[in-house]
Amino acid sequence: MGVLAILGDILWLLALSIMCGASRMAWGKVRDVRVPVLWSPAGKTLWRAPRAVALASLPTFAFLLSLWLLVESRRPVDLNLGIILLCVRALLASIFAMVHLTQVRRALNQLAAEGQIKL
Amino acid sequence: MASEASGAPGPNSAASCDTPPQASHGPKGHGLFALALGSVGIVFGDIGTSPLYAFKEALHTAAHDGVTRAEILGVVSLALWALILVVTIKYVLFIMRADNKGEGGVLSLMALAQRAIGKRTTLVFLLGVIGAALFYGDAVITPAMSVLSAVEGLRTIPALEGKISNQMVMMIAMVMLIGLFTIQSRGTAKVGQLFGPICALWFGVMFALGLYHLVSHPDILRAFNPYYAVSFLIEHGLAGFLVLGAVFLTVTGAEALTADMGHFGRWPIQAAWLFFVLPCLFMNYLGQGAFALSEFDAAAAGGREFQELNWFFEMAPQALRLPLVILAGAATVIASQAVITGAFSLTQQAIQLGLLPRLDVRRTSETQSGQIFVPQLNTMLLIGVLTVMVTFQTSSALAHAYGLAVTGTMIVTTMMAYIVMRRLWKWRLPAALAFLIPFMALDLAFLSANALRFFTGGWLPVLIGAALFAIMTTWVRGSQILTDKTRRDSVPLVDLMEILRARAPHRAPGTAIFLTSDPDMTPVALMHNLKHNKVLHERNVVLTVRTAETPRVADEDRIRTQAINADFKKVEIFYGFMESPNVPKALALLRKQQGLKFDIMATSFFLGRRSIVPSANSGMPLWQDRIFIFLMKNAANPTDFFKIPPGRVVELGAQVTV
Repeated sequence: MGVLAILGDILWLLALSIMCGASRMAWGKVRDVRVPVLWSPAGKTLWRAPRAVALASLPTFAFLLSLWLLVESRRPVDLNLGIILLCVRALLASIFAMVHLTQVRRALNQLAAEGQIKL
Repeated sequence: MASEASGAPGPNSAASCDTPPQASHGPKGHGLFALALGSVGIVFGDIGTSPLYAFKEALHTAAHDGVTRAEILGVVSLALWALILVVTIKYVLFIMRADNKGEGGVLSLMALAQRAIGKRTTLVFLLGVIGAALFYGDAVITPAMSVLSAVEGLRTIPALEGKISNQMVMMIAMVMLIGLFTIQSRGTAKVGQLFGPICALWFGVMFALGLYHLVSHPDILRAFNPYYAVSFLIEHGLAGFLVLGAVFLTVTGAEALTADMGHFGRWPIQAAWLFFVLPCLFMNYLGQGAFALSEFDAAAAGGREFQELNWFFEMAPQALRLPLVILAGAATVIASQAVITGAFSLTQQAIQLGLLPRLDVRRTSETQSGQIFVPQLNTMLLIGVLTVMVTFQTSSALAHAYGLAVTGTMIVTTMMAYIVMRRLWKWRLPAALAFLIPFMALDLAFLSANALRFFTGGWLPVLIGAALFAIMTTWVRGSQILTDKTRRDSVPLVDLMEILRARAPHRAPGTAIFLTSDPDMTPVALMHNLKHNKVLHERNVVLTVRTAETPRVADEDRIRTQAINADFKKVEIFYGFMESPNVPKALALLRKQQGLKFDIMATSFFLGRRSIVPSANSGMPLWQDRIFIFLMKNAANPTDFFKIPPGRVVELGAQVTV
């Protein structure tokens, strides 16, 4: 059980590191501009947010979620539920990392194309 | 005023270990062929209309910087292998075996997993709720997506070329869907008889169209080699992942294979899939690929750029395009109907399992138990579908939103199936992991591919799912708090007996039935009757309606009675989570089975009504309190829900904080 919980912790640590790394990299490049966050399927920007909101909100939410999952994974459960919980943690960690990377990458490319920042 | 959860299905009302055995339920009386044909209309409507848009979207995503032969083969190969791995191996071979007394679907599987574990666990419960919530997101998108893609076929008719605008397509699709949602209240039993034959014709036409193009380019059969799929993904990196998200559209609707098991049985669905639906889908995707290869060769020979087409419709000769669009329209309406019916059925299950408040569930057929109509949900779905249509406007735009909800539900299904394998089927750990690891990896690949579209439309089903998740968890938590409070403020029934023995009240003639969710405590209505009216009936029944973790309950297991003393009797009525409670019918059964004498028209039903007041210190934040109170106020009247004659009901109220 302990091994499964630690495996989940490692996955979340990796995911949070990736997310924070991406935000930190983008943070220095984005100054005094509103960062695109949401797009229509046609590519039109639907929402731009201040730098802190655009780059930090998802990692913060992910961090809080990871803490909750960390606490939950320390509760005594049987092996099967432990495996399922590990699957849930692994899925969420990878999805959060991927979604954040996609957003940061797309936002930076768009801002560079608009001439607002230099990559 | 909101009504007391008197006998209402709630988190505590579900029977667990003491669940009575359940009646065998199966599609008896029909031949395998008839059931398989019926399933073609209902079960495979959604997955059967995917060829309208799946290949087009996948190739469009792959061809943003031009296209090669290997890419066309890669996309077709991915589509074929998605159908083989996800639908055939995962669902047909494994998940369909995990039925809950013949019923499938995410909530049914959740109930089965809970039963397998032997207790209610938060993890399994949350996973079930997430799966159900995501299904509603899917139910809003599927009708919009499929009907829009069919109507867009009008553009491929030469006489209408350039004359059909996006707005016109949207208007036609809206009229079709408004019509479909409007007729729901009348039931679809009669029209439904045509669904099977129409869908069978649809699959036949898809097969013929595929074959027609396959003959001209048989080398497309090389797409059966998974090498093309794998090398496509390896060579294209992130772009390949985006294509995978579009390829996933080929398997949307696979959940219906298990969700509709109760109606048709496992074998007819499996037979229809393996021997009819899968070959037709294979042939059509191969045909679309062959057609794309022909266009690619023609473009290369003519020195022009490869042009993207509406591959499905343009496969047909021009003269047949109009009938094909009409047939596609009919098929997509049937697919939408299947999703709407699925949403009604899921809602009924959610109400019975205590995940949603009581809603008005109406039967639209006297003979068919699956024919139900939920007016509030119907209206909400219609508003949702129309909003989605106006927001996204085209099927290509909607394709970005599609997929994420379906993958979420599929992942939940995989996890639940693992628990069932381990705990119910007693599979050894390595065997169960041999199922879990590859399929979780596959699900993760599809989920990640769909997650890339999160910011361009994928947020929509997640938003709908999150809203439904918040509603369900609030309802469950609020009900729990309410039950705990009521229990705390009530007197145990045995103590009341002692008090009544010491100070006998006035007796009124007749029978009083007190509905309660907690038969060990004195019902609020009984307390109020004694306190304010100072009377006790000659015969008193404390009645509790419970929901079993099985779809149906046999009549012989429906009722349990326990005499407390000469004046009081405890009665528990059990219903499966697929059944609608009917208290008078159950009491008639009680009379027949146990000879209990009472006249329903000389019996008073006492219900407690509670006025809920929000409080910041009662366990839930205020915003959740407000949601809970809103849900309570809008819940169906227990008199209607339990089919109690309204003229025999007395309601007594109290105020409670949550």
